[in-house]
Amino acid sequence: MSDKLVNILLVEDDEVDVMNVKRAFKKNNITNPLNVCNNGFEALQFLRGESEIPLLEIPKIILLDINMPKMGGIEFLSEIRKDEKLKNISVFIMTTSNEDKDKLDAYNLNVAGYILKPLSMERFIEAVSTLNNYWKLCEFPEN
Amino acid sequence: MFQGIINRLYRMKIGTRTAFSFLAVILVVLAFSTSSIILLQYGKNIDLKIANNFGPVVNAIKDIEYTIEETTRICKDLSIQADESRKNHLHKIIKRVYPKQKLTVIGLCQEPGLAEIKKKVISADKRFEGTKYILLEFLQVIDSAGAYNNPAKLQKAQELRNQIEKENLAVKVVLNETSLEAISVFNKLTAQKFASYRMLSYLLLVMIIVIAIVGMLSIILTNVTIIKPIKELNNILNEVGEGKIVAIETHIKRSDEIGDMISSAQRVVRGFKAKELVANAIGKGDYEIRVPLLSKKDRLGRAISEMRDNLKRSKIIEEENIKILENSNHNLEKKIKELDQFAYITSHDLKSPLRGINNLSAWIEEDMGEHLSEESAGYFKLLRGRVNRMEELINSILTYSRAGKTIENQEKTNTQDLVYAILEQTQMKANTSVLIDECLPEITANKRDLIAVFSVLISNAIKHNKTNDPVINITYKNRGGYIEFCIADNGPGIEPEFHEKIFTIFQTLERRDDIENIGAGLAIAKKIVEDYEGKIWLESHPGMGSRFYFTWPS
Repeated sequence: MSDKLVNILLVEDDEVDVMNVKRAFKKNNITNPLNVCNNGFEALQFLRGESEIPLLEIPKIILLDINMPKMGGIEFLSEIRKDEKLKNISVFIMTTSNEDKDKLDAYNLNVAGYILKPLSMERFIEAVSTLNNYWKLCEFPEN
Repeated sequence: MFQGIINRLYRMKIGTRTAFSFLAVILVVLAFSTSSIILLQYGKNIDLKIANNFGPVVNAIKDIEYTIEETTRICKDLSIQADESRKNHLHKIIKRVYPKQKLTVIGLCQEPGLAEIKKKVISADKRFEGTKYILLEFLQVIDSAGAYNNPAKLQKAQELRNQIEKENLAVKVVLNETSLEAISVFNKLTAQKFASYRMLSYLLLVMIIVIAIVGMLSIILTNVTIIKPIKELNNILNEVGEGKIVAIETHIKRSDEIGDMISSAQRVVRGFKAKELVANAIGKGDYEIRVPLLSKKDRLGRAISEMRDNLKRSKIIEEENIKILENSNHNLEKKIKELDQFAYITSHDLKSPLRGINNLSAWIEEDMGEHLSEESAGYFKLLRGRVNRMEELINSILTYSRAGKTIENQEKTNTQDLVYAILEQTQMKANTSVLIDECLPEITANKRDLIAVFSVLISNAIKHNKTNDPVINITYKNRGGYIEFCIADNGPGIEPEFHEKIFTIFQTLERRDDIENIGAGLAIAKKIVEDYEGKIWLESHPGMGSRFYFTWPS
């Protein structure tokens, strides 16, 4: 297991949801560096180093919402899968959409998982904890 | 040869043919009657000859014979004694009777067939002429005075008498022969007459046979050349009359009236055939086809052409109507989709602020910790309960907006297995009994659609049943073309006035707080069943349990 904590990018437009994730991280003592972008377009700019926020390291994991303004999650996903530098990032969908079509599109673009945002805080914390255990277990290639 | 004659006959008009046959019959009859008349005349001539000549000839000869015998007899008498009257009679015979009789016979013998007889009569006459001199000498001898007293003279008279007798006998023989000959000629003529009559009867027989043959031939010819083709044509026209269009085929070229009739019928049939083709084409939707008009008077052709134009016009109108209908259908479908989409998006968008409210309230509660009053904690609990229900409502709207017939994965589904699977996942009281028809049928459906319908009805039957021994009965009936399922329970039953209302979304008959019930299940089930072109209904009275029915195409 690597000592180095992997970078995580959260792409989410809802402020409360961002807080929710941050809170859940805190609750689970997850200390991985976390960047937040408010939509797919912003996230793409950030990953390509075109954003105001400097890109220190390409994140290994992206937590991605589907319904967002400017550029939705599925569109963003298909963009990075076409990008040589970004195509091997593990992407977890975190969304409220229970649509079969969304799930199918997501898995066709090789997502690592599709998680429905639960209503209650407790269940969300549990979910984030599971995720943390998962990515702690996985090995990622060095840049 | 017979066929050749018939073929030649076919080139003649029936009138000509009839005239020819009449002429032939008349000629035959004429020939026969002429020859009959000739034969009859011939026989009659012979008869006349016999009556006028031959009979009198024989009689006249007999008369002469008699006269001559009489002279012999008178001479014999006179040689014995004198008799003035006999003497005078003999004179009369010699001078008047005999010449008269001789002339009669010769007159009668003018016929060419009697020439021989005439010759013989003349030769006999010549001989008698000689005898006449002896008779005159005899008379001289006995006329002299005292002749009967003079034996020499008597002797002389006796001698002359013997001579006369001898001569007369010879003449008589000749005459006898002559009359026999006349009779034989007569017989010959009679035989000729009978021969001619026999010939006449043969001729009549032949005539009858010839006429019979000619008649039979004409009947056969009429039959073969006129009646048979007419019958065949009649049969074909009958079939045409019954609506079957049969082609008329002829192997013989004929230019008579029957030929004309056949070619007219062929034209009729060809016309019909052409019309049939055109009508078929029009029936198949070819409205551009040209309708062949047989002539300016072709009313059927004009009617078909008019029909085609009318059909074309109504087709255009129909197409326009279909287009309008399709457009409005399309619009309607679009609107329904938009409505579903609207419900989906709205409910989706409602969800995130709801979750925000939920999170924020949780965080406030968490952050306040012990500072939160008991009352406020209760409010927070109520708040989260309402948030939960709102999420359920939103989820129901989502499900309802998405419910319907799923086009994909339509497959043969065993309802028996499906119902058992649902029952396995359904929580129920321990003493609940579920009775299921043996072998529920296989139907075509998307499994998830069918599960949605069955689970709503089964879970309702269990959820609302407050009796101590809940019984659920699942049965079906094959109604031919579709299956009618029935889920019956012994629950509280439903007032008939609510039977329709319960299928409307968010309509519940109990307080929401009493029972976990959103009121979308039956609405969703109804939407799915109706999308499969089925029906859903119930029979129920309070206290009598409920029977929910729905149909599904088999």
